[in-house]
Amino acid sequence: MTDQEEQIIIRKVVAGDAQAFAGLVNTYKDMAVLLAYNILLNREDAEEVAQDAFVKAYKSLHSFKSDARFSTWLYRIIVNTALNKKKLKKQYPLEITEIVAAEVPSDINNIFATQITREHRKHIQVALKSINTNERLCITLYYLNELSVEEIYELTGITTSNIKVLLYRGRKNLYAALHRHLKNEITNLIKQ
Amino acid sequence: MMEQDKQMKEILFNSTEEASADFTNIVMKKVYLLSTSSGYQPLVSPKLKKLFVFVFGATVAVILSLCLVITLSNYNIVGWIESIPLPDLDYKKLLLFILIFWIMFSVNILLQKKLLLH
Repeated sequence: MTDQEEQIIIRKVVAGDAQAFAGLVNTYKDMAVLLAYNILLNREDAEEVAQDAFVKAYKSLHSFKSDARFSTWLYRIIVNTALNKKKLKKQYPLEITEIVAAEVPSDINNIFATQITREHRKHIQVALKSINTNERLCITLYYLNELSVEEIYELTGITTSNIKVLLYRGRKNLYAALHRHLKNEITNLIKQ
Repeated sequence: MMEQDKQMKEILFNSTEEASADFTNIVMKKVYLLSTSSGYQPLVSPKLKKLFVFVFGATVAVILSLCLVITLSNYNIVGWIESIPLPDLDYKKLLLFILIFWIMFSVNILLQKKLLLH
């Protein structure tokens, strides 16, 4: 969806066409869940936070300035909602085995492919769990949501120099955690 | 985008599965509820309220300054007011109505501000 198309939808929603909002939800829902997940590390909470963020965005869409990017504005709402949730609940993420067990492959032919994806996801989730929240937040916003350092500063309030340090450390720690985890897996497989 | 950046994006992208199938429906249900719920609609719009406050302030200021001028001046500079022929109306009732209206309006604004602070 182009920026212009987005602006048209926003104008329609502000004018009272609530149905038009579904277009924005469909475009950003996956990214919203991913962003919330990388902050909370809990699938159910991430989904809930993403939904709440969309409702909040709808409520305050009239205050959205058309010269700004809708995605950045929405990400700010998601980050704030997720951080508030994390602060309020002081929760611990669900065991990864529980998340993986909840997935059911729809087609028997896809079992093998699904199994690979599950394994892949499991390694990433373990690695993400091992790094600092701010590092995870910065690398998610920078690499996944493709925000600039300045935009991350505006969104989180973390200074630009700190963001650069967090990006460097986060990247390094995530690769190291992935490497360590995969090495352990291989060693365990060899032992078996 | 550098190769390493792409790799990192892919890693993060694969951290969890995409949004659930009924995600949009759930959000839109909440949105419809919000859009159809009849919220509080003030009888007097904020713009009109500002205009009322301005008119009230201006009237009070004019009355006070006229009183001041009349009191301080030795000359009968507002004598022309006395010469204006007035229509035969019940001015007591009219003044009472205006007075009560502005008292109620001011009390309402003060109470609203108090409620907002809480």
